[in-house]
Amino acid sequence: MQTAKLALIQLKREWRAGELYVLFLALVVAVAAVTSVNFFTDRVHRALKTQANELLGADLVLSSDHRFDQKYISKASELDLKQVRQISFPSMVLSDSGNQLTWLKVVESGFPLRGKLGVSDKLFAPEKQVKHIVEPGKVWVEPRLITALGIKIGDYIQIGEKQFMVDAILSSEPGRGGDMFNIAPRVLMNYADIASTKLIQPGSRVRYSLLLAGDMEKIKTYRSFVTAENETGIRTQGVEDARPEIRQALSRAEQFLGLAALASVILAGVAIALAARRFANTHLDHCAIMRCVGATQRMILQIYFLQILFIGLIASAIGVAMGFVFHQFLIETLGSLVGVTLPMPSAMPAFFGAATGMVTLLGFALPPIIALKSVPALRVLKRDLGIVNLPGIFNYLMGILALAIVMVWQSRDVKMGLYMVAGALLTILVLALVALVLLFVLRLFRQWYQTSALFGLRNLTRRPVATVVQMVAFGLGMMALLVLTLIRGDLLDQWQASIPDDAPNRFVINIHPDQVDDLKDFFKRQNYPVPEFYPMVRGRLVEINEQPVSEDTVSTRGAKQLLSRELNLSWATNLSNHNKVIEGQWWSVAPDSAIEPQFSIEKSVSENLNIKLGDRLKFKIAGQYVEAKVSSVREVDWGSFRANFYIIASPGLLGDMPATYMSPFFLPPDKFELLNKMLAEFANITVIDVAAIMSHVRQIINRVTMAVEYVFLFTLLSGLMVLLAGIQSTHDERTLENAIVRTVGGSSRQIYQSLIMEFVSLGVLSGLVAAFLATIIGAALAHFVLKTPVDVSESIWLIGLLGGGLGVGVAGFVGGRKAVTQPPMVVLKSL
Amino acid sequence: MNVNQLNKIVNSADGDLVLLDNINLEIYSAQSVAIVGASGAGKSTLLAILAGLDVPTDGRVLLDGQDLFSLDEDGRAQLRGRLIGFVFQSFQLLPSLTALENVMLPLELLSIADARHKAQQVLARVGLEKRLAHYPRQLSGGEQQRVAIARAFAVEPKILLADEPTGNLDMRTGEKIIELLFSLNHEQGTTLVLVTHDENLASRCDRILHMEMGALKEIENANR
Repeated sequence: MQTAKLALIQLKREWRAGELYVLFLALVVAVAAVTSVNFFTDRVHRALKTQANELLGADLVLSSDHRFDQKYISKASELDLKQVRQISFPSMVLSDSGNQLTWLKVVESGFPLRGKLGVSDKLFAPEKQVKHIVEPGKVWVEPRLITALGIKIGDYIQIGEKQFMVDAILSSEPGRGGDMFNIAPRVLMNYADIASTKLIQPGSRVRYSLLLAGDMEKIKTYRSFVTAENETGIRTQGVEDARPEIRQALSRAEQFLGLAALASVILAGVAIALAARRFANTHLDHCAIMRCVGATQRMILQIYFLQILFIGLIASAIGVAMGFVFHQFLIETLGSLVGVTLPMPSAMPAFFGAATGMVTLLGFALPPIIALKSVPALRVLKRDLGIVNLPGIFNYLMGILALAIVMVWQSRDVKMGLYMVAGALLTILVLALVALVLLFVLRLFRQWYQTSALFGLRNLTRRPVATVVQMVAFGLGMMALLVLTLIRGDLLDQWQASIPDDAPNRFVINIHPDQVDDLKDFFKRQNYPVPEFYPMVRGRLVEINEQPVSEDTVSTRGAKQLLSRELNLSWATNLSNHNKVIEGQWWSVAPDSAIEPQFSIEKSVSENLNIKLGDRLKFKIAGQYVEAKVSSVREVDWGSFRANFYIIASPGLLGDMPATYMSPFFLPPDKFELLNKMLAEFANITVIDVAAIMSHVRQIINRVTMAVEYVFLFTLLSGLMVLLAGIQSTHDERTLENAIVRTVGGSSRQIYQSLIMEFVSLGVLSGLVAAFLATIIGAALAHFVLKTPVDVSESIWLIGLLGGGLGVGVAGFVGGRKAVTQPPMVVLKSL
Repeated sequence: MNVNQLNKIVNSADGDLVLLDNINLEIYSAQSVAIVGASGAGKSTLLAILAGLDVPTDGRVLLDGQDLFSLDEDGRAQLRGRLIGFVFQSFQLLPSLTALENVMLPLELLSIADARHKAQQVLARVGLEKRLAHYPRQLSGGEQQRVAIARAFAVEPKILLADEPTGNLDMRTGEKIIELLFSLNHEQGTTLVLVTHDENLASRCDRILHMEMGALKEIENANR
């Protein structure tokens, strides 16, 4: 207790004396950065997740081919989950002018639980969002039905035994997901009307769904309940099962933000390490005097440990508060862009921010503080004898370990976290090595440094340890900033570019083989580029290597999904650009010659069903069986919005099977009349609008870019703290030297020249090494983590060179100025 | 204080260097002793060993009946806190602490109640009652040394060790400091051991020991 009091009293005094500002500020900035990033990512992450829910229309969807047992409904009520029933099935719709197969979707009031319904009162007019569902007696229909039947708003159509008024055009509705290629025009009907249509008869093929939303934990509980019931034919679909392209965007978003936050954490660690080292350095005398007047080693250790603990707690608390304030400010700024109401932050970011602060502080500050206890009391008499060996880079293992834990935790991605740790360690090693080589070279030419500017270079050689430490710190800081620059600029651009502006936004499906040529002709007549056409056959995988397979023979969710439904199979002669063969070989087809029947499968199919090259697959297609061996495994870029298939057969294999064709094409926003003409000419085809999905993905990408840029500001601030701490680390020594130089007649100008030379050369060298390492790390991240093509721009070298030289030079000059402006006598007297 | 066959030998590039050569010494309570000698004679080394700040190669130092080097480093620190006060040539005040706080430091380390009040009293005793909140850099050399003396006497040590206490001060200030040291020495009955070049200071002590090449010889004090 006495020691704690003593530690507090001394801490108060040291605070007043200004000794602790740098350490404290570094920690506050670090915690504020991490916390604000985490508060922000926590909320954005949850908001993005909610948006994924919006695509699903719920947090969880249960579907089955029969009515749900009461227990599923009771359980949902018991868990206080919002629930809405939905029935969907294909149904013919009749009007005065004809009939059309539609996909009828019957929903209860409250639908959708997530996301919004969009309707319009004219074909292709801008949509407006509504908060209610269609009234009984009326229906909302998709544009394609209007075109197909030649009807207008206000007309009546017959569904089953009842007449319905077409009330509005359904332009967007959540939960459209599922099988994207098999949707007839949709008709939305009120649940109250379904009985009167008398459409549902025993044996009807109807899909019953239960849409659920609520607390995520309760949703989890509910899902476990459904899994435990293990009822055949019931499928669950959660956020994580939503569309693959949205999922990919989400996980990339997390990675980008995580990466930006990690850079702040690393920089904070470096700044804290430097500041703690300085703290220890400036307390050598203090310890010696305390030892001299009776303090034991244990007492010294306790005092400083408690001081560090106090600093950590107070700085963390302030940092967390600041992080909260800053993230509010960010949300103010970006709120409109995020588009949805962000959920309140959880307590986790605050806890994590404080924990990061404490772990980083203790990891880096403890080794020098532990060293303080060994300061000999004799230092009071013989200063030179009392120099304590403060821990070198290898004694910072504890800090590095602490940082590694924080990084893996922060990134929630072991691979990404470890890449960062490895990158940081490699940088430290390379920077230290380069610094040592540089010092060696500089020392060789020592006698040449006669002008005051070159004294700066000599200064570097005279403080070898400090030079190495500073170079490592600046280099690490700059590397983190450069990697972020790369990601923020180049990599993000590449990711954006991977969805080209003319990516297909419409998929035409249900094209009869006879119509392919007519459609091609149609595009030509409209002076429109003719898109590609892909054959499509629906089939169920029934055997692997002559062993029957079904939903019941596999255990993983991914495998069950693949076996529970019909898959879209296609055939092709050449490999599409968006596909890459990762195992085996794509077939080569010689003109007019038959080739051995074979399949090429997508990677996830291979992984989920454990299918290897050479395995034989048997599909059941329209009552017939087709069997062939697997000759290649492909990686497919699902984010490309091209026509991608899980299974592709070699030409000829599926030739006799009933096929339809599909064609993705790009429809410019001002060419909507093309669709009308197309639908008028080819009444049976279906056009799927993927523009909505794409604009959603783009929106997410843009938001993430903004968020990363915001986080980037924090990283810059952390980088600045590193710079400050680095300059501070040699401040005392420099002040004394300058005082002596001025005492013996050196001018301020000479000292400034030498100061600038020293920091500019430090900055340039650190910047170049940082650019080199950032290039490697950027390339590795692009290749392994973000999976975008490796194309690191050369400008990174220029940024490293100029940024390092100017940044460190200016900061060194400003920070070192005090060391020049103090009157020499004041400096000498203070010693 | 009893010093018995004390030797200090260090290894250097030119072979073993004898810093202290078989020192035997007995100092009684409340005595004042000056150690004089040329620079490098070993005075400061002896003082450091007497305080337990440095360790001898062999030999014994008994302080208040306690063998100093039978204790470990922490034990010596505690003994120092209880028994010994220090005054240095370069004052050794902590620049981040005020005069008052510098004096309070050893009191706080010994968990002495009302450290602040006690420190204020001692500072008043050395004439610095108006300088309590000043930092060392705001004080003159003489004032800084008075703070150092106040710090040394604050814990009422049995032994006060001083290393060239006037070495950094002008003559007039130095004399005032000497006055202060001796009057406190008389008031508190403290044993005073000081290393000095200052003959004036040495002559005021009960005994003068001359140190040469690491060996100690008692010389007659003409003033006594």
